[in-house]
Amino acid sequence: MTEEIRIGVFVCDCGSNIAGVVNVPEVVNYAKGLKNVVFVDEGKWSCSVDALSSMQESIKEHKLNRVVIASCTARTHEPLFKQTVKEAGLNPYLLEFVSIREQVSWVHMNEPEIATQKAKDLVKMGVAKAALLEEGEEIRLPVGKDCMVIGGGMAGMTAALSLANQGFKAVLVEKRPQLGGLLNLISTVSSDKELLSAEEIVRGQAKLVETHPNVVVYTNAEIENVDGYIGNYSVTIKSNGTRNNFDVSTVIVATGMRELNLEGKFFYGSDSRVVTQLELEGILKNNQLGDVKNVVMVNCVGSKNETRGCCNIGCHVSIKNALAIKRVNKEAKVYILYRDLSMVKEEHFHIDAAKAAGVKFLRFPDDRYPEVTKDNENLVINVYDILSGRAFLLSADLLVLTAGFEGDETIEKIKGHLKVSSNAEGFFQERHIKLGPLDFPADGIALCGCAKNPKTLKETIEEGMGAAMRVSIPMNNGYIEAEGIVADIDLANCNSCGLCWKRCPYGAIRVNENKEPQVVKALCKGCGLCAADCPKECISIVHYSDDQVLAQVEAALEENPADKIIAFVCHWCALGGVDMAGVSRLQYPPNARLIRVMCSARVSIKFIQRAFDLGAAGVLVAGCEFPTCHYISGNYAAEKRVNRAKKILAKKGFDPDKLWNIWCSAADGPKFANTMREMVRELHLAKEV
Amino acid sequence: MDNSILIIGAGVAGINCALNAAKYGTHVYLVDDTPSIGGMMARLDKTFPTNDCSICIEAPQMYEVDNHPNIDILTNTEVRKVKKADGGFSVRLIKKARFIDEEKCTGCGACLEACPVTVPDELDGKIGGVRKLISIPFPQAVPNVMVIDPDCRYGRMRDKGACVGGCVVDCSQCRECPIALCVAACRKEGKDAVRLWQANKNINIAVRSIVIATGIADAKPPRGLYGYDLYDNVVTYTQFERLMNAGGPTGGQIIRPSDRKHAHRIAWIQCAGRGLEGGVPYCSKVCCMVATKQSIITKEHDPQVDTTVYYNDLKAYGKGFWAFYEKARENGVKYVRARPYDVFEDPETKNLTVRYEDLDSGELRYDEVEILVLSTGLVANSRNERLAKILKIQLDKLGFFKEKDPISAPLETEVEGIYVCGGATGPIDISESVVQATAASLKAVSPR
Amino acid sequence: MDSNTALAEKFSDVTMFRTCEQCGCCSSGCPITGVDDFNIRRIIRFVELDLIEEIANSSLPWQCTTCGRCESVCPNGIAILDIVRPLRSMTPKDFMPEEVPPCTAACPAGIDVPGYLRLIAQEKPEEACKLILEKVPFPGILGRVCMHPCESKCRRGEVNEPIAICALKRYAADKADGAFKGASKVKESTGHKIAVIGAGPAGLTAAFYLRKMGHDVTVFEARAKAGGMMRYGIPYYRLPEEVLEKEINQVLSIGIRLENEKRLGVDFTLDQLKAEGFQAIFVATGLQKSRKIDLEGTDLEDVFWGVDFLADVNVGNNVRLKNRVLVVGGGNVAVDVALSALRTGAKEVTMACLESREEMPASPWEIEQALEEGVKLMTSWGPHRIIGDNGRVSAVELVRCTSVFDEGGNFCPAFGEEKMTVNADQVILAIGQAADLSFISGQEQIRSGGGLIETDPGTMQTSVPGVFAGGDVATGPSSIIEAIATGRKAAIAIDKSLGGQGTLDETLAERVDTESYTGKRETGFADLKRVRMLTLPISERHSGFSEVNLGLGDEEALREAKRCLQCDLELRLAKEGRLAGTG
Repeated sequence: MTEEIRIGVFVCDCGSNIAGVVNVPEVVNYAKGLKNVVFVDEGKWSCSVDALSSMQESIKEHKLNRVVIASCTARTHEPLFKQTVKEAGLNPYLLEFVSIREQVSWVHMNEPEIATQKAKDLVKMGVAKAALLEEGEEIRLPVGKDCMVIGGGMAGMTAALSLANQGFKAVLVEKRPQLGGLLNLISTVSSDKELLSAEEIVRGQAKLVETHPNVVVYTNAEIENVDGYIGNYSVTIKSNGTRNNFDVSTVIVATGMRELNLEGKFFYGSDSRVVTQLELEGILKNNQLGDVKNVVMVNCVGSKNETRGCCNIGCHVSIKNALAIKRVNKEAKVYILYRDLSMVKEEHFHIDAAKAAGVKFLRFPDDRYPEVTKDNENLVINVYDILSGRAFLLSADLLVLTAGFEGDETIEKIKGHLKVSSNAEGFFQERHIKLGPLDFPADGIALCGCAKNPKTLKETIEEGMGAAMRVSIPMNNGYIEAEGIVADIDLANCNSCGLCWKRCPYGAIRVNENKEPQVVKALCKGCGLCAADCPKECISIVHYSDDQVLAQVEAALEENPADKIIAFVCHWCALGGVDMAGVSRLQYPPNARLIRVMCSARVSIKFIQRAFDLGAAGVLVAGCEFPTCHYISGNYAAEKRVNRAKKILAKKGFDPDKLWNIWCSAADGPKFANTMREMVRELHLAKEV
Repeated sequence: MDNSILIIGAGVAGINCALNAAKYGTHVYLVDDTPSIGGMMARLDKTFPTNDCSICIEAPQMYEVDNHPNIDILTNTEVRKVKKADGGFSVRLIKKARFIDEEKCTGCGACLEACPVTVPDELDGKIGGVRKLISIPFPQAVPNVMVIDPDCRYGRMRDKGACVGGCVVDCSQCRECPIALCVAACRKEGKDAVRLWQANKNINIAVRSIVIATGIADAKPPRGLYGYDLYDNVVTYTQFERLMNAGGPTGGQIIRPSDRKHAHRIAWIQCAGRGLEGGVPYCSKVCCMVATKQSIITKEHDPQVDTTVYYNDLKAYGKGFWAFYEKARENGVKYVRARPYDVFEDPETKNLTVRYEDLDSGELRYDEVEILVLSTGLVANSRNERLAKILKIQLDKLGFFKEKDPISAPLETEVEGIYVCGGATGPIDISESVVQATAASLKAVSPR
Repeated sequence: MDSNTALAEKFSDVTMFRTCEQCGCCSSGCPITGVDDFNIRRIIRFVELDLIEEIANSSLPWQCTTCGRCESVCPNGIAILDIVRPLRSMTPKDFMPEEVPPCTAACPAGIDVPGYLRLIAQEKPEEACKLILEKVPFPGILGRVCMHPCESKCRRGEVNEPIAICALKRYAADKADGAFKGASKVKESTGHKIAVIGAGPAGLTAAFYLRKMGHDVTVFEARAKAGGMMRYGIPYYRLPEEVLEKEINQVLSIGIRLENEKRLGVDFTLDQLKAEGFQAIFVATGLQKSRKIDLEGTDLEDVFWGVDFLADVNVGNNVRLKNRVLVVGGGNVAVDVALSALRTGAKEVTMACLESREEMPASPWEIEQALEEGVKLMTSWGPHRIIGDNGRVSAVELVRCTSVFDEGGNFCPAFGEEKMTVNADQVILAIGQAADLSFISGQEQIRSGGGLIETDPGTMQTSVPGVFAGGDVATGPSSIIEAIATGRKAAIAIDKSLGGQGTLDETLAERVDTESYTGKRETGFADLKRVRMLTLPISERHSGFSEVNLGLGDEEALREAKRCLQCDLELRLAKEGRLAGTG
C-alpha cells in the first residue's frame, strides 16, 4: 500500500481556553511545515456541530487520509471525533488525538511561549504517529443462542430458567442425581419473618426447569472436556453413564460450595454428638433430634482466620437452627458461642426472637476459642464470655459446629477446562470484585452463586439472574464485538516460547496444535502486555505499534532532548490524573512530552531505551494506582518491567534513576503535578524547553 | 408498546443496569435528578476491599454510558407522572432548568472563573469545600457541562448580601441582567451557553418497564451526637471520605476542619447514633468495611497517624473483607470493642476526648483524638416516598422500596414491569448493587 | 420454689433486656462506671445469663444513683432502672446504705432535703417551706447564706452537677409567706424560766425551740439589734435587711422577750440571772471580735479589722473608703470585706492571703464572685509590715508564704525571702474572729480553753450546772447552719435538764406517699443541667448593697427541683419492697 500520506491537522482554540495561552496561529503555521501535512485548520470550537461538519468537508476536499486533532482530551472527546471522521468516509483508526488543553494551556497558564512550544512538539509527535497509522476495524465474532450452565443448585437453576424464558437454550449440567444443590440438604430457609421449606423451594424451581422446553438437564453428570471460547465451545460430558457431546456459545459457572472438613476439631468425626450446622439441618429435616437437653453451637469454626474469611451466613443459620431446636424441644438449653453477630438491617429481630425463646449467647474472644473436653464421656465446653468477663462451663449432648465453606471439589477440573482462576479459599475469582462481579476475565463465561463466595438464597437467586443477563447480551446480539485495538502476531519470527498465551489476562491467545499462538481478536482487549513482553518482538498492537510509539519518541526528542522527559501514560487512570491536574489548573513544569498507551503494560523496554538513546533527560511510566487496572493486572506487569529496565539501563551505562514511575488514580491530579515538579528538580532540568 | 426502558437513578446501579440493557439491544432512558450521573460512588475515594480508586473504575463506565447509542441520559430530570399504558407505562418527566444549554456548553470553565460568588459545597461544606454558584458537579461529571443551582441562585446569594453589582432584587429580573458575568464570559468564549432564562421542560416518554435505582443516602447525625455540629473536628464518614479524596476539597490532605493542620490521631465510632433518636435504627452493613478502608488509606497517607476504630460486631461479610480487616490490623489500625457515648472537646486545642467502656476488659477509658469520624450508616433516600406515590408502589417501614417477595420474586415490585435494584432496596455495597442491577436489567428487557 | 425461680419471677415483667446487644453505650455514658467496679452493662449481662443472684448478693445495685442516663442513651430503649430496682430490693441488708440520704446526712440541721425538693417539684413551695421549718426557723436566711454542705454530697453531682439546693430553699422561703404560722405553735407553759445570752443564730434558734416547748424565754443581746453575725457579719448584698428583720421578728413573735443592749459581764452577771429565777442559761455569745495579730503599722489610721469593718458597714456607720484597699485574709469574711469595700467607695481592692488558690478557705463560689467583681487576688503572700506616711497607710510590705500547714495539717505558716510592696490607702485585716470572754473573767467556775467555752458534748452544759453554751463561742468559727443546729440541740438538752422529754419532732408539711412513686423519669433526665441563678449585673453592684443573687423564677425552680434523684424514695421503696416482696 503505497498511497500518498495526506495529513490534516485541526487545532482547536477552545474559545480562549487554549488560544488564551497557546499561540494557536503559530502552532498552525508550524504544523503546515511538518512532513506529510497537507492541510491545517484552526477552529474556535472544534467540537461544535458546525466545526465538525466543516472538518468533514475539509477531509473530502483535501483528500485527507490521516487526521490529527489537537484539542482537549481523548478521554472525553475521542469518540466524538472518531464518529466524525467515520462519517466523512475515513477509517476512524486513522485519527490521532493530541491534548493541548489539559496537557498544555491549563497547566502552563503563565508561560505562553513555553506552552506554545510544547503544543508544537505534541502536534509534531501526533503527526509523526499519524503518518504510520493503519486502518483498523471493529472485530465481530458470531455467538449462538445456547448456554451451558454448570451446577444445578439454586443459582444454576435460576440462570437456566432465566435464559430459557428469553428463548435461549440452556444446558444444565448437575453432578448429583437430582437438582437442588445445597438446598437439598437443609430443612428451612428464613425469609423476612417467615420460615420457608427448602424442599418446597427446590421442588417448585426444579419442576419449572425440568419441564421447560428450552432447558436440557443432565444429572449425574461429569464434564470431561470443554474446548473453545465464546461462540464455539464444544463440550463433552458423561451423564448417567453415557457420553454426550454438544456445542454451546456461552457458559455459566454455578458449582456452589461445601462445608469445610472439620475432621479432628472439637471431636468432630470421632464423636457422633458433634455435628456441623449442615448436618443439623439434616437432623431437623428428618425429625431425628430426639430429646436433646443441652445444645451448644460454636460459630466461626474454620473461618475468620489467616486462611479464610467470614462465612457470611453462619450467624443466620445458627440462630435459625437454635430456634428450630427450641421449637421441637422447648426445654432444651441452647447456647450459641460467637465472635461477632453479623446481622444487618432488621435482622436483629432474629436475635431478639432467639433470646425470647431462651437461647443464650456467649461471646468469645477472637484468639480464645472455646475448649471442648470430655469428662466421663460428657462433652464439656469451657468458654470465656467477653461481655461478662468470666468463663462458663457448659455440658452438651449435642455440639454443633458452624463450619466455614470452600468451593466445590470440582473447581480444579473446571478451572482447567475453562482456563479461569480461583482464590485461596477455593472459590472462583471474578473479573472485578466491584464492577465485574458476575464475569470471568474472558467474555462469554459468567459466574454466580456460592461458587463465588458464600451467600444467602436471595443473593444466589439474584446472581443467577444476573449471570444469565451477562451471557444473554452476546447471545441476543448474535455476535460479540471488540474494538480494533488488538494484538497481531507475526508467526514468522515466533519461537513459541509461550509467554504471550501464559500472560494474557483474558485468555485471548490460544495455541494451536502446531504450538503457534493465535489471537482470538474478539477476546483481545488491546492492552499490549504480550507485545511488550515478547522476546522476539513479533507481536504488534493496532494503533500502538512499536513503530508508531517510537515515531512519537523520536519526534519529541528531535530538539533539546536533554531538557525533555518522555512520559508514557495509560489511557485510564494516569491520563485521568493528568486531566484532573488540567481541570484543576495545577501548574507544573512543562518538560514532559506525554505519549498515551492503553495500558502501562504496553511500554516495552525498547521504548524506554530509545528515549535514553536519543538523549532524553528522563522517562516516566505512569499507570493506574494498585490494585486498580483496567486490564486486570497490567500495572503490576509494568512495574516489574520498569524494574527490569533499570537493571538493563544500568548495564548499558545509563543512570537508572532517570527512569521514574508513578501509579496514580484518576483523581490524583496533585500527585501527577508533584511528580513533574520532583522530576524536574531531581533531574536538574532547566525550565526552558 | 415501546421497546424502551426507564431507569430512575444513575448511580453505579443505574449505570450498570443501563449498560447491560443497552448492550442487550434495548433503548434506555437513564434519568437522574442531579446534574451528573455517577451517584454516590463518584464521590468516594476508594472502594473496599481492594482499595480500587472509585472514580477510576466508575468514570470509564460513565463515559461508556455517555457514548452508547442505545442510552439517552437525562440529568437534572425528575419523574413526575407514571401511567400504565399499552402494556407498559407512559411517563412524564420534567427536566429541571440547569440554566445551561447542554448542547453548547463544553465544560470549559470560563463562566466559573468569571463567577464572583463562592458558596459552600453541599457535601464538602464542613471540611472547607467551596464552589462557585455556577459549577460543574465534579471534574469527571457526565455530561461535562455546567449547572446553576437555582436554590443557591436566589437564597444563598441573598444570604451573602448581594449578587454582582449589588443586586439583591428578585432574580427573575436578574435573568436578563447584562452584568451576569457568567453569561458575558461564555459569550466572550463565543459559546453563549448560559441561559439564565431557561425554564423547566416536560418530556413524555413511553417505556415497557421501569427500574428504580435511586440509591441510598448517608445518614446525617443529629446535632450534638458525639458533638457533631458543635465541635469542629467531628465529621461524618462521608465527609471524611471527601477529606481523603485527592479530588476533594483538601486535595486529599487529611487535615482538621478547626485549624487545617494534619491530624495525627483519628478515631472512628461505628454504629454512631444507631438506635438513638435521630439515628439509623438498624445495621447498615457497609460501615465496618468503610471505616476499615478509611483507616487503611489514612495509614497509607501517613503511617505515623494513630487510627482507632470503636466497634461492636464486625461486619466483614463479603469476599475478601476479612482479609481486608486483617490487613488494617497489620498496618497498625487499632480495633477497640466499644460503643462510646460521651465526647468532650478541649476548647483550646479542639481535640476530642472519647469516653468509652472497653468491652474486652470492662474498664472505662478515655482517648484523645484530633479528628473523630462518625460512621452513621445509610438511610433510605428522602425522595423515595414521592417516587413511590408516583409509581403507586410501596415502601417498607424503613423507607426502602419493597420487593414483592425476596425469594420467589426478588427485585420485583407489586406492579408488574417495575423493578428495583441497588441502594433503593436497602443498605448494600457496590458489587451487590452491580449484581442486582444486572439481574434487574434482565427482568426489564425480558418478555413478560 | 427454689431461689432461682423466685429471682426469675422478679424479672418476669422485665423482658426488655432481651433486646440488649451489650453494645456498651450505657456503661460509656454512666457517670460511675468503674467506681467500685460498678458496670451497669455487666449487671445487665449477668441478669441476661440468669446470674441474677450473683449481682443481687453484692453491693453493686446500690451504687447506682438511678440517674437514668443509661436508659436515655440505650439504643434499644431498655428500661434499665426497672432491672436495677428489683436487684436492689434483693440485695442483702448489709449492703444497704444508711437510711438518710446523703444531702440530709450532710446537713447539720438534718433537713429533709429530698422532701422539700419534691414538694417544690410538685409546685407546692409553701409546703416545702413548712418542711424546712420543721428543722430550722430561718429558711430565707439560710436560702441565701448557707454554706450548703448538702450540695457537695448530692449524688446528682456524680451525674453532672449537684442540685441547687440552697437556691431552692430560698425559692421556697420567698414564695411561702404564710408558712411560718404552722411553725409558731407553742406548747402549754411549763413555768420554767430560761435566759439565752446572745441573739445570734444559735441563741435565737435555742430560744425559739425552748419557747415552743412551753418555756418562758428571755434573750439578752449586747448590741442594739438581734441577729448576731447574721446581722453584723454578713453584708446586705448577700442577705438583705428585710429578710433578716422578717425572720427574726417571726421567731421573736411566738412570745420571746428580747432585752437589747444588755451585755453579760457589764450590764448583768450570770449570778444575777440565777437570782432572778432563770433556771437555765444558754450562753451563745459568738465570736464577735476580730482576731488581731502583732504587725508593724496596725496602729495607723487607715487600718481596719475585718469583722469590725463589716459590722460598721451594716450598722451604717459612716465608713467611706477611697482608692486602693488591701484586704489581708483568704476566708469568706475576707471576701465579704473585699466586696463590701468595693461598695463603700474603694476603687481597687486587692486580697492577699497566705494560702494558695487551692488552699484558700473561702468557698469557691465566693472567690469566683470576688474575681468577677474585679478583686485582685494575691495568693501565697503574708503581711510583713504596714508602711505609713505621715500617720496614714501608704503601702503594705508582703512576704512570700512558702507553706501554710505543717505536715500534720496544722496551721503553721512558713515564709520565704521574697518580699514585695503593694501601695494601698487602706488596709483591712480579716484574719479571723475571736470570742469576747471577758464576762467569765470573774467566774472561775466556767472553764474555757483556746478562747472558747468548754462544754459537755452530750449535754452542752458548761462546768457550771444550769449554764449551757453553744454556737461559735463553744465550737469555734463555723457556719450559720451549724450554729442553728447547735441551738436546736441545746434547746433539747436544756428541756431535758429541766425534766422535759426534749421532743421537737413536728410534722408541719404533707408527705408524699411512696405508692405513687414509680421511679420513671422523663427522657433526657440525666442530662438536665443545673439552673443558673440570675445575678445583678456587675455594673449595678458597686453603687450600693442591693442583693446580688436574684433568686429563681417559678419555672427555673420547678426545673431544678425535678433534677433531684430522690435517693430517699429509692431507698424507702426498696425497704418496703423487701418487706412486701420475697414472701
